[in-house]
Amino acid sequence: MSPKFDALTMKQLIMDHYEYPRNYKLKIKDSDYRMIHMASDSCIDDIKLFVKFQENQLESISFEGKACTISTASTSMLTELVKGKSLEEINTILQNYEQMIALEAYDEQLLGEAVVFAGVGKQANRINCALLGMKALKQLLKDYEKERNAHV
Amino acid sequence: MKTDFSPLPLESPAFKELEQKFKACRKDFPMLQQKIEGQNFIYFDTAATSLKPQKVIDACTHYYTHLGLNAHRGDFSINHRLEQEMQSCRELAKNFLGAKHSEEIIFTSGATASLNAMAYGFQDYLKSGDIVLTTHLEHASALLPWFDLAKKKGIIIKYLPLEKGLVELETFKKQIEPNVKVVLMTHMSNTLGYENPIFEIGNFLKDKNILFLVDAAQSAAHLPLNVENACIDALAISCHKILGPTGLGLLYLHQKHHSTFKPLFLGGGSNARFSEDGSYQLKYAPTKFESGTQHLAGILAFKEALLYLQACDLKAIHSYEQSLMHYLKTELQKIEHIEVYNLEAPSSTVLFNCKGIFAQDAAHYFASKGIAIRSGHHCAKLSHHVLQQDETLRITLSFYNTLEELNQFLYHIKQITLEACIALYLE
Repeated sequence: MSPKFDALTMKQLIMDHYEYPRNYKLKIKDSDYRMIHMASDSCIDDIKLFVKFQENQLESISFEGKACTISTASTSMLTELVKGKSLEEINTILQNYEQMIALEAYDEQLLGEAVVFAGVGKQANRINCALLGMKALKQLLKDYEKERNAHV
Repeated sequence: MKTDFSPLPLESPAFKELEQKFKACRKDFPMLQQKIEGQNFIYFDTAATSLKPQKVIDACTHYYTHLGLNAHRGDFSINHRLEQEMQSCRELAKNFLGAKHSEEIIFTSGATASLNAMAYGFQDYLKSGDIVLTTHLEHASALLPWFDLAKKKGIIIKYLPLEKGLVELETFKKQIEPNVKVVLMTHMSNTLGYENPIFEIGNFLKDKNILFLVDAAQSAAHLPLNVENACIDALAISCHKILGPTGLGLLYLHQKHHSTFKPLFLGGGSNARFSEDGSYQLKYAPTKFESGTQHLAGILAFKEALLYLQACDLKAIHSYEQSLMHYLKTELQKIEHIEVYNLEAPSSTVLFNCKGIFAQDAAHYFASKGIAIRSGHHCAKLSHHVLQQDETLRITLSFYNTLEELNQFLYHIKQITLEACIALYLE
């Protein structure tokens, strides 16, 4: 359990991000948004992630779909963490998040509220839930970086 | 000619007698003897797969230990014995389904294989513009092969309008336009669990040159079947859902199609001869539809499953399950934070949600109490057309479930909250 938050706060944070997810179903008219559909193979979690990159930055992000408390809340928290950050910073955040879920060492300072999921990795059948949003974002980032490098 | 779904009152001597009979069966199921994280294992997901009695498990081991050769290939007495056992299983299955000839019972690797075999087997009967009439409640394994054929052959798939999830006969009759060539329907949906009137539909269709294809994967464990009386052309059975082993299914194929139905697989065992010029001659049914070595251990095990069911008496099983199901549905409706979706008719499932809690989170909560229920779309991904709800929780019962198990579940469901679900993965 993270020393940052006590059990009650952790529960409240997750409930809050599940019942009122941030950056959820924002109106996106701009065609510069890239979309990825991430549906879990092993369960019914199903989300779409929309991201707008501007040069070296993630300018804006939104998600929608139906997913469990872990998937929804973790995706909500991640969207808050990465908004406005550089590609490099985002990669570091995602890597640390992945390490946290894998029960490996990670930098707590980078993950903000997402540290509430530090213990999820102990339940094998919930790991994919915690990684759904992260994987979606990681893929979009990878595709964008590949395109940018091709133009260099 | 729907099955009688009258539940017995729980205090009645008739119910008590059945309760005693089926409680005594529980010791035959080794899976029920284990503890899950220190708790009694309560299994409410028989629709996913049924638990297996020891005799079925032993039959698999017996095959590998004492009879572990091939059938149709070899001259030992064991080879001959295996052929006899296969035929014996076929005969039992024929009686179980009310078929006329044992050649109409074909072994497959499962209901999914049977359903695929049906679609691809009848494809040459159909041409572009022909209509397949089906429902939004069908399982992926029933529908997807037809989606493929629709693309390849220009077949049109149409969905029968349902009345709150029920197939109404008069509505159905009005859907039969000239180009309808196939009616594909589940005998009992694995989500809503309502029985479809297949006897009436089959008899209505019989002189109309329309194929009547039925998915009995869910129903066979709960409802009596008679394929001959219901004028069914082909039907799929899942052996692992009726106490049998995984990796085995049945395809019932009416004799009239045996020379025109295309086998899904070609290979050894099904062909009589073949030559360099590309010609081949297939054997007679059912062998022409059973290429390769069949799941022999599974077939011997499934024979035991059918004998076990016979000994339990399907009518008694049905009555007991319906009594439990009625109690469960009644009690769930009393709980304010529960929404039940299939109250229109008696059913073999309960489909519900805990308000404000994502189905998967709720399923995890129950799992933490040792109770196995299912969450999701249940492979019937078009069900939302009927339910207006995508993700649901599902309970399916079997004769090895008890009133005490239901009460244990009811105790927990009264206490479930979103907070309690979240607390599960916070240490």
